Amino acid sequence: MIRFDRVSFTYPDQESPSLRDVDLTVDEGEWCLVAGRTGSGKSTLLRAVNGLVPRFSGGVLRGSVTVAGRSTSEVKPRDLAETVGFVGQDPAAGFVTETVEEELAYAPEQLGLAPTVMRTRVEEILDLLGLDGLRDRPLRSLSGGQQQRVAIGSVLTAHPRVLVLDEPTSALDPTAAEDVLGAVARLVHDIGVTVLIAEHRIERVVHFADTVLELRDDGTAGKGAPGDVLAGLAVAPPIVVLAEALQWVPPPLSVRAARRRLAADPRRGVIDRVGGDDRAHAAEPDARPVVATLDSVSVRRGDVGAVHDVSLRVHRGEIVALMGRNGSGKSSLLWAVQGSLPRVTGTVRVADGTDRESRATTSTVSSAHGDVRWWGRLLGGRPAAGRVGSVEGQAGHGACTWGVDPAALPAPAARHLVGMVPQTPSDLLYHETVGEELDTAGGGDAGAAARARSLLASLLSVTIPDRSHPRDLSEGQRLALVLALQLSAEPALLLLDEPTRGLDVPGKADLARWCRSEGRAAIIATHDVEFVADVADRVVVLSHGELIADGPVREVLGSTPMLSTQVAKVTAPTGLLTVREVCDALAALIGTR
Amino acid sequence: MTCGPGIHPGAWWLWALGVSYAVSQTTNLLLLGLLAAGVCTVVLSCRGAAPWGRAFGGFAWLAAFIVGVRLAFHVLVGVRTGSHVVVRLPEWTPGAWAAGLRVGGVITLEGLAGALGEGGRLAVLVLCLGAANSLAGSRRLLKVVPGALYELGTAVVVALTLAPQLVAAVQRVRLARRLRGEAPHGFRGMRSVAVPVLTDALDASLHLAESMDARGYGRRVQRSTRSTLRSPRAATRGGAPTTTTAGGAPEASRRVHLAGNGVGIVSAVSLVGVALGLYGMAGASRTPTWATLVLGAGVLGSIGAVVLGPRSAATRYRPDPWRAPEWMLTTVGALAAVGLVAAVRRIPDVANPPASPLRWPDAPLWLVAWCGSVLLAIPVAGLADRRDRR
Repeated sequence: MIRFDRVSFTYPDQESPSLRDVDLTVDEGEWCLVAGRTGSGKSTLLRAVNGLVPRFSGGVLRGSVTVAGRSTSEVKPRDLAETVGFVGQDPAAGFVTETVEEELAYAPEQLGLAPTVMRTRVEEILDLLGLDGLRDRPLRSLSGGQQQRVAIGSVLTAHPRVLVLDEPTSALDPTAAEDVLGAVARLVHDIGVTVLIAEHRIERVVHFADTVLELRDDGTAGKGAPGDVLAGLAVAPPIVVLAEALQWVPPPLSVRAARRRLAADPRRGVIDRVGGDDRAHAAEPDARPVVATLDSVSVRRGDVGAVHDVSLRVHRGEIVALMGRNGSGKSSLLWAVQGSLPRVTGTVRVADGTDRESRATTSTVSSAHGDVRWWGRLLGGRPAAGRVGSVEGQAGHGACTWGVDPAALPAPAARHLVGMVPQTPSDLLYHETVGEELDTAGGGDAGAAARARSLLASLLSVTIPDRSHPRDLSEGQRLALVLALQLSAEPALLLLDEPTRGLDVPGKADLARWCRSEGRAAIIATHDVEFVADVADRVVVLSHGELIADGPVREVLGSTPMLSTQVAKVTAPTGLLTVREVCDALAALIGTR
Repeated sequence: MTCGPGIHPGAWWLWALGVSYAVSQTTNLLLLGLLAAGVCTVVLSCRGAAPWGRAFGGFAWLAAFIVGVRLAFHVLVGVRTGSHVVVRLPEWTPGAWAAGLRVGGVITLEGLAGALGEGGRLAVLVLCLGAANSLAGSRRLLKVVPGALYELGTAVVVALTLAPQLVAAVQRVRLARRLRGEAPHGFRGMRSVAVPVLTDALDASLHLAESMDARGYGRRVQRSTRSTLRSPRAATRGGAPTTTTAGGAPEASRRVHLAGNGVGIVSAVSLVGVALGLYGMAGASRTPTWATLVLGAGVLGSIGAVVLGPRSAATRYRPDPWRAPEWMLTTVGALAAVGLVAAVRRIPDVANPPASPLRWPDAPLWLVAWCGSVLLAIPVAGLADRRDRR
């Protein structure tokens, strides 16, 4: 169906090719997953399928790309519309019309189909993707998952034989992602579409895929069965890493397969016992000083209440993960804490510098805990693992008698209390070069600029030249740059809104390692359960703006399958969340015997 | 009640056109007030829940502003007539270099009434425009533009989509700027907001263009026997080069482009002709023959270009039907126009009351009832609504 014959592609003004001698054959009805690190050319490959590369990107493509027997060098993307349906990374960016039904009808209109044919196709796709209830809704009012399904539907109405999806679930919460992927799976079964899909969150897709195409950093590619290709890959999903750690060959690819494998594994009993120990120790009060308190905070956005009556305490060095569906009020809460979004009711207090010092000296209880459990030490660098606290742990600290409300301060002073990295970090960057960005980190303060430089160096393994343009950086590098800028003000509390959006597995691991070692209090809004399990001390779950759960990671993530990591699903009900925990537990047990 | 969306948008525009023609015929404050009230009632009871439905408020403010400005100008530099003095302002005459101009002075009731009539007429015209906008929505009207203008319509739709996104992006970036502890002021501040917003906008347009192209936007058919020219088989008929660079066009589409260019030149020349003709007709008291000829040729040329030119292959999904309610709505608008034209013919003093002697605005009962007929739009639109629900 899709055939790449020795395809190499170089973007204009670039020395090295993004794709190098790629040979690829995708058969009719096959579901092929494209895996690779950020910047390895996944998007380039996908866009070459219908000729958007090189027709829209410029650059030189060598070799030949044929889809359903037609070469993209001779047929324009528009004339391939009935053959290839392409859905880009941001579904909202591709919407032409205003309502769901019009958007679905757009492609058939362009193809010049007869009105009756058009009508039946639109109805058919509305049913197939479960969009019937939304047909008159304005596109902008839809949630992320709904928008993604509309975007897929809007190419399907042309009846393409190939569906190309570029990161369809990266911005979605777990439930919405399952919705979207479930819809695609149904298409593969019902209509027999060929699917080529790129996804960072491989764990969501891998059990659907027939084959995996690995794109290496040098632009070459290799294709094979999912288990064979993914084993040993830097971007491998947790389940494959777990399989490697437990020497399961070939690795199971779905949670179900892994559970069956574990049931037959002699180490099962050991793992179960560790989990039992873990649950026996309930949460203890967190003895670290409180850095920020939120008291019944409510926020309105337009006519709708975005956050209702949320109270929260964040302790020093504690990393709080803020979870919930798309549109549950996570971003609004972060902006309200930061102070830019006005609160309807409630107070936010953040300990300012002097306050922090005095708290630090007066709290004598903190590090004297002798009962850090044996496995807690094994979990590695996480600060005070196992001593994650309950909300009421610091009742002694009165609500409003200390600290400062960031909203009451002018912007330059507020950023010393609260540092925030918004969903699109690039909004903060506007200079021509990275050097200029760093120099203006503190508004001309040389100390801040120096801090920003050293922070950036500590965040990244490779140094970015000062002359490079911020737009040319990779997603991870840009995030690191913005983090460095924001942290140069040494804020007491750090707020991160969806920081893992554009990061691949190694990139997320870097960020997680850095978050843990930094020891700064942080609230991180994210959908990424694997990242949360790796980095957070506590999880707070919002639903329709209300706080519905607040507790230790293990407790909250273990309580619902929707918020579970793959390892937790496999090892349930032990409560182990990450591969590292499983390995550490096994290693420790073997050690003590 | 939302009966607006059921009716063809063109019918709403024709209704508004009829009412505004009626409005343009009179300066009688009673009639203007009646027509304005009628238009407002129709909008309030018929506008839909769509975003453009809320546009009417803006137009109402604009109308009020127009009346205010007209009155202010009258007070400042208006022509003084009549004997009912309201207030005597200090008067100032600039002198010989602006002979006849007088600032301030005696303000009379007659003068104010005249200014109110003229300002009110313009204001109600604006209300009619606002009514058409909020009842039909320019976006829905674009769906019914003829096929040859399809791509122009798409460009407008895209612009309408991107504008609110741009506003949102500016707000987002200003917030982000605060995060860096900077208050965006002055040129530097403007730059620091504009750079991310514009780069975002460029990226967004490129994404949109890709998405449209990948879904078949811009396919063309030639209105001739060579309409099979762009079929896939024909397009792949040439050699099979293995290297493509951006912008390489196959031979077949190049020929289509040439044909398109020819038609483009014809339509441009025709439009210039139309403009010249209109200029000639407007300039003189008797229309010169050349102007009529040039205008006629221009119009014919334009129509020819539209009919013969290459057009997109696009078809319309669920086009708005034009049936009895649409005809009835158009008739309601035309009725209003006819009534006022008749009033101007038969009772000119009522339609355009003279400045003096000063009188309360008055009108015979039949004319009042006639103005009230614009309200018939409400039941007519209700008919269309029932039709759609069926």
